[in-house]
Amino acid sequence: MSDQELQNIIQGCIKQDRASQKMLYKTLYGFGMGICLRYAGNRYEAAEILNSGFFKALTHIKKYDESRPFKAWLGRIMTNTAIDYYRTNLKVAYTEDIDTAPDISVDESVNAKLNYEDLLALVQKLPNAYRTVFNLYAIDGYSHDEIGAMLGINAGTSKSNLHKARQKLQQMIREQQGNTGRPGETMMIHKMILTDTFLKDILKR
Amino acid sequence: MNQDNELNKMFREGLTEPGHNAEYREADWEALEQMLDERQKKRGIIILLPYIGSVAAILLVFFAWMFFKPAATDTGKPVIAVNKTKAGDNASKGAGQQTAQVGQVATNANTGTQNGTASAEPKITDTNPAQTQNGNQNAALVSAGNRTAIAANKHPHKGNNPVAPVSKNEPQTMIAANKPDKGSTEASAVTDQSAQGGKEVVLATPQPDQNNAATAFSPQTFVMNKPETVKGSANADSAANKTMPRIAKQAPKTTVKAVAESNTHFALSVLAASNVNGVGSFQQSQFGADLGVTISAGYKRFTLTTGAIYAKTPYATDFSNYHIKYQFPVNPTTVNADCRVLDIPINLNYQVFGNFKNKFSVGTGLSSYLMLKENYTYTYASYPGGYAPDGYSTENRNKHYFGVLNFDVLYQHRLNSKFSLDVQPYFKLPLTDIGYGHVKLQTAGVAVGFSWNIK
Repeated sequence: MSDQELQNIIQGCIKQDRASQKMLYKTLYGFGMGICLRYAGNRYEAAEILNSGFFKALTHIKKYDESRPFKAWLGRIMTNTAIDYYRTNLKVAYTEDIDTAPDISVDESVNAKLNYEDLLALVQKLPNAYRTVFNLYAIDGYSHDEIGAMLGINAGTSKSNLHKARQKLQQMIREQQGNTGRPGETMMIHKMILTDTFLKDILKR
Repeated sequence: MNQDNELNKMFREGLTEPGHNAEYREADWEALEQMLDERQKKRGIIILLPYIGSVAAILLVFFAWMFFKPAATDTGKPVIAVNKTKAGDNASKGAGQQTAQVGQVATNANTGTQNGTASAEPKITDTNPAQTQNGNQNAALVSAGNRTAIAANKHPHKGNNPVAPVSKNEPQTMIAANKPDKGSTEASAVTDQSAQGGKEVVLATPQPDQNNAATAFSPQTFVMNKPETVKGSANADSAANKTMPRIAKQAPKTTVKAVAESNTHFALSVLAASNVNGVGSFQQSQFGADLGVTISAGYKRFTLTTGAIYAKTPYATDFSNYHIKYQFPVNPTTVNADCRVLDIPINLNYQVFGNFKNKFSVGTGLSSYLMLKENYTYTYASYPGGYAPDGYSTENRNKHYFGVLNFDVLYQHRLNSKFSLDVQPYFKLPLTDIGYGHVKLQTAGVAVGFSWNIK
């Protein structure tokens, strides 16, 4: 879709035209969902965040500055919506400063080739607090000061959570690298084994 | 650090393309659409809130005024004010040796009629009325034989000296009919010796000012029942033996209830109307209907009315009367509209005729139109081919504050003391372009309703 077509759709959305709204939603669904999936724990939550973000965007679309890229504006809305979605949980988790966080040394370099599904699964396994800071810093490029301001925490806590998020990710990746075959397949198989073993144990009792 | 950067890079690049994980799902859109619809409903309520609040404020002011306004008085009606003071406050020692112990009560009688007719003929019945003498400002009236003094003190508050110079040897009773403040009745004591004989002695005749008419005191209010002595009397013993007439109480209880004839009136009305609507003229008129509630506050012949009227306003017009920015591929020939309008009128009516049963009034005012829903259907002369809109709909988009001029004639037939039947032909002329189509929408109709005459 060209910029001009996107602008026409936006104009329709400004007039609260429902067809234009749907068109915009369909066009940018993937873009928005890509952001939301990273911040969410699963796809269901991601869809909720996505719709909340689009709802904000469509109802405040008059505030959009047409001189700037619409995607960037929408992406920011999605990020903020995701933060709001988990804000309650985040507040509880953001208590540990970098100075007090235990350091887990990682000597081995991470050099894995993971596909989107694997990476997303790893990120979604992170606790909310770690996942949010990791997304904001490592993927969306915010500084710790900015993250601290966004989340209502200090920069040190942001660094601490990022550090722990990385450690967890590296640990999970190493676990995958220890297995043969494609990482994604290994994870799935591993889950199945765990599940089967668990079921067997249950049945034996 | 390098390891961290590699990790960041791996996730940043790997998570840019969500692939099939982010494929569009219609169910997600339906959920969002539901959110948008709900917001639109709430928004409609929010838009109406200022107007609902305004109507509520008007009602509040109206009821507050109705219940807490001070009682109206009419100075043209007779009013009696009775002012009682103890005569002892006004009686003081006389210039001489005498001290007048004045009767218990003195009465200020503020009475009168416009004709200035008033009379007071108090009778004092006792065997030993005290003598009286005239002072400078005190009219001391003396009966024959035993005298009773009634002092009419013009200025009781100025000197407290309504002292009747009484003869030294005789006890006295003094009734001080105090003149109250300015404007009140002057009470002068009149002696009617010939008529009264020895025992009934004193007539106090107030001289009412204009607008004051009443009895100064009832003729039977003077009851002498208690002897008193006069200090300093040379013949104290003899004086003491005499019964001192004492005025027990003058209590002119005559009170005329102030009757306030109110010129204000209030009414709450429910009305329904059938009307015709047209653009520019009524050549292509269509029938509509109104339903509403109004509230009226009136003073004398004038009545101010406001309220809220929900109107179904359909009309049809040539496309030439329909002005929108949209450029049609092929212009329609006619436009049919079906609008829902909240009409908030503020009208002033003047009663040109009225009796107990029937009233006629004429009125004018302004209406604010809040266009709640507008549905437009376009009719083409022939199928245009390609895309041509069939119609357009919008909600809560157009508002025309005081954009319509109202004229009406109101006939009210009183059913009973509380309710009236109203018939009101009316005409509404646009002062501005109405609705999405910016049309000169005019309306004529007849409203029928009932009014609850609150006051």
